[in-house]
Amino acid sequence: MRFMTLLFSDETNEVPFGTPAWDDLMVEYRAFGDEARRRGAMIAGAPLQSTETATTLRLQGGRFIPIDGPYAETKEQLGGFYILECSDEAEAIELAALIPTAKYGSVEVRAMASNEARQFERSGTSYIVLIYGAEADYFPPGDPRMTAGISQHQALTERTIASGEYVSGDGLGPPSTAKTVSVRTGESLVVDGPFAETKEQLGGYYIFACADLDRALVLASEIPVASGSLEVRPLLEV
Amino acid sequence: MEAAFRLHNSEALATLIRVLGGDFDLAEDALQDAWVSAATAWGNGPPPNPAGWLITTGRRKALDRLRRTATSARKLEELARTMPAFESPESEPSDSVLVDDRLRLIFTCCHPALSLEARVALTLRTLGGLTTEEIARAFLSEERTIAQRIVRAKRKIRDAHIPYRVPADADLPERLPGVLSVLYLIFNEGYSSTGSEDLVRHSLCDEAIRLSRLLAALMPDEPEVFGLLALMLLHNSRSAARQSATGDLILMEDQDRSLWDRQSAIEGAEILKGALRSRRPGPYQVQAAIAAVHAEAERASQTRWDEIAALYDRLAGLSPTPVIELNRAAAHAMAFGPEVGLQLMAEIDGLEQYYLYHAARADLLRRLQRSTESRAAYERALALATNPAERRFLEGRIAGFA
Repeated sequence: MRFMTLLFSDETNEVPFGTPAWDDLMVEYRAFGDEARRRGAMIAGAPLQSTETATTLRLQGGRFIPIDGPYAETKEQLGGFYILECSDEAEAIELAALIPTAKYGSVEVRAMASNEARQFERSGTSYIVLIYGAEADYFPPGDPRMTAGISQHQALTERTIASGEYVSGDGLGPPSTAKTVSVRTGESLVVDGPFAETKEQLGGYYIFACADLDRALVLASEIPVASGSLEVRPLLEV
Repeated sequence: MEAAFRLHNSEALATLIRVLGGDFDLAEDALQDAWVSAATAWGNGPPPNPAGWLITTGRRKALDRLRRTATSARKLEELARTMPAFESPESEPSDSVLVDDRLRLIFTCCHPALSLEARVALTLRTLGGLTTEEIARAFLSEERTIAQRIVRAKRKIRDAHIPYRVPADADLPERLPGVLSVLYLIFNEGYSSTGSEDLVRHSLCDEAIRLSRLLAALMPDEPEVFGLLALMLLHNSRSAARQSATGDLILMEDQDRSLWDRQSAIEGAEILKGALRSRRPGPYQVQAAIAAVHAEAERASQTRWDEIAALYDRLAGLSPTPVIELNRAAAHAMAFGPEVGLQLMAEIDGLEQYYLYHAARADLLRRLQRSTESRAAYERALALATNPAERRFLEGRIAGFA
């Protein structure tokens, strides 16, 4: 089973880049990466740039209107993610607790809709598009609109694979199935439900490699959604 | 030197940002260094091509700056590869390249992924050459807030890779209105300021007009740019008559029209005529046409309200917003009687919390001698109004009922 782990922490309170404390933290993240790879769990992962670089696309009269800023102003922000292959939810939660973010922030664990997400290599500029929607808008299994939606997503995926811009993309399971993991004084705390208590929740994502924000916004606005909002954020360059 | 600064700073900045790979901060710092050199080098007057001199010197200063910081080795290497082509005087960027650079700067500063506040501050800072302190005073804000807004915007341009580019022709219909709305917002901020306030706020009108003239010169094929410029000039022509000596607002019908600036109104009308010839109407051209009809009337009673009502019908068709519907209703009231206006106002949704809606209704009810309803509407307007001059006006109307 594929799981998405979403890393939330307070970006205004980050360990400063280049300090010994930062080096220590990187050692911890590498140790987590090694452990996940040792288990054959690591599919992909990436850090996001700060929410100051975010642009939100809101649907207005059937068109996307760009707005400066992240989808929601929250105390702790999405700062990165790992996609993990685990035997079950228990293993996903166990691995989530090993992610260093769990010690100073929270990690949301959500089953992925499919096994679409593949391992990827990035270079240069790439953007993650976070798709936010209400759980009520999820189609029940077997609903014909779901099939239509999937084929539209597949068409976009094929188009962007052909143009060399597709990096990754998938849907997430319903927010109500989410678990949120944090570790305080050495103890794992697991809470039912998604991390953020916003009206709309992350329902899926795309990652595109492209030259600039204008192109990323064009690609994002081709994502077939009938409601909700999209947040476009650059990934940290590697 | 100050005049030279106004004239050439943004021109040189626009090109430096491009040759320095879109790095706003480096370009600004290097340009500042170039001005320091200019203070001595221009002792006997500026060189024949001041902007070119600033660009060449600024480029060298940028390299000096990069050499001083070891961390930017990669960037230096990159620039060293692309820059020598410009080093000889014959290969100075041509006029058309300079024009493109200024357009790049305008469209990047007004990029829709930046907040409107950031777009305004960045435009005034980089294109208008205003200091953060002047911008803060003009927007009744703190200098720190404005400085942060500009720093954040530049960081987003850099980190999110907002391109330093003029949008393709196909994208212009979507992107140009965003630029025009920033310029119009700057103008309105100055225009809505009242007498007791700082002069720097009024100077925003001149700054907006200056930037619109620049944009019009850069984009001669876009009639809406000329429509906006005409609209500003026509509005601005009335500014001396808009306030009493005590800073109270004077309605257009009560203004002393001999105070109107005929020169400015005539220039606005001429520019509008030129724009209309392209037969690509837009909301700014229609608004300018409305202002031009007002300007033609020597006395308020001679105003061609039937023409204005027809123009508002067109404007409402082009951009159907509740505020435009309100103005349309007011124009119809003037042309065809208060009852017609009240009827149209009753059909407008979404202005319950807008003081001018209630003030306009109150005025029509007053004209129909429906005093009780009129007074109630004025009181509703007063409860929503915040500007001191506007509040004094409404209080005066309410006192008139006693």
